[in-house]
Amino acid sequence: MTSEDKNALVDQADDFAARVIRHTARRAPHPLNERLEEEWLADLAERRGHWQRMGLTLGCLWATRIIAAERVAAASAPAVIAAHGSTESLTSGPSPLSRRTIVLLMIVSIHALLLYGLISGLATRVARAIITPTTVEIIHQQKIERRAVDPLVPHPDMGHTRIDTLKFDPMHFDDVAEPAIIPPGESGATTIVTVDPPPPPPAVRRIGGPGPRFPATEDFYPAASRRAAEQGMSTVRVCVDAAGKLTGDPRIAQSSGVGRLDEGALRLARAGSGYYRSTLVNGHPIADCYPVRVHFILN
Amino acid sequence: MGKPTRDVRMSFQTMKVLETFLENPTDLLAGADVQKRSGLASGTLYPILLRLEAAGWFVSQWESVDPVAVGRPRRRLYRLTPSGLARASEVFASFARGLPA
Repeated sequence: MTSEDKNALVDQADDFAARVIRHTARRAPHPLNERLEEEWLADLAERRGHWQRMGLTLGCLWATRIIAAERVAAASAPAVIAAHGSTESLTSGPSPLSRRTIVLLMIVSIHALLLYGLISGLATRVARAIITPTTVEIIHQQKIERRAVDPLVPHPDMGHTRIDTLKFDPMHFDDVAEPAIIPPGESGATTIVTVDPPPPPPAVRRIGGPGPRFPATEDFYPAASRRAAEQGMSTVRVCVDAAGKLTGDPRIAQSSGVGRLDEGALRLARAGSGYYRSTLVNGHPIADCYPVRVHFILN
Repeated sequence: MGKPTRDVRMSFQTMKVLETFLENPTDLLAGADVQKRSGLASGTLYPILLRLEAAGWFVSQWESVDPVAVGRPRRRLYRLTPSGLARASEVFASFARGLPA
């Protein structure tokens, strides 16, 4: 609805209210009718908003009825006073119309107004002004091409297939190996992963070693080596559980070059079972294998 | 309207109208002004104004403007008469004392 249509609608409603007030005032008792018509039309001109004007229109209808009833009562007052000797009934004089007739007239008036609104197109304009028009927007659906992919055999167009595999390392069994890139046709029975997995959060790893109550190296220095003044360093690989106990027999990872010293290092490693400090991953102890260096040095 | 013919039944709405006029007893007020200040509906207000005028509490006169010049009909202005002012004051005083008017 354009602003011109709205203005036309407002003018039409105002004109309708003025006509009702004019007609109502003319039905008031003479000589009040002319005065009330001008007075109420002046009041209507000061009203702002449709509801205020509608309220004034209905109020004028009601006021006319009250004023007419009071005039009738005042005109018949001398007869009433003469008959009863009292003015008690002046404040509530008889109405020319019964309550039932008035209600019926109001219902008929409301229906007449509705009918007038439907015939003249006023109701349609009001409905258009109140109801917001619904706008329909067509969204074109995009076609998604789906290609059948054999999960085991790489597609010829893929070129290189990215395959994520896990390398188990007894020393670093929780490490994830870098994804290997192999040419098509060599994937074997491994699982093809076409989408890169999210990178695992970096783990804080602290390798274990001899604990504070670990046996002293001097106690396992071979006596023959002391006499022969043999010195050296043996590297022993131990596998320890989360409690610091050995889970397997230690072995020499790097020899000192002296067999006796290596034997002494292995005995030391065995004697230290239960006193190892286990490897920690994110603060949690785990079973792990790590090297322990044993130094045999004469004082 | 003519001279006073009978007394007015004092209702709550009538007292609201009188209270509006007693705020500035010499003011000339149109029906729309009284309605704004008292909050009464127009269907209640205008019969009360006519009733009080018929009883001699109010006098009314047309607004001294040219309807063509101002672009609207003339307003009817109401004002308390000296006797209306005295009686209205008496009504509120008697209500303040807890006595019927």
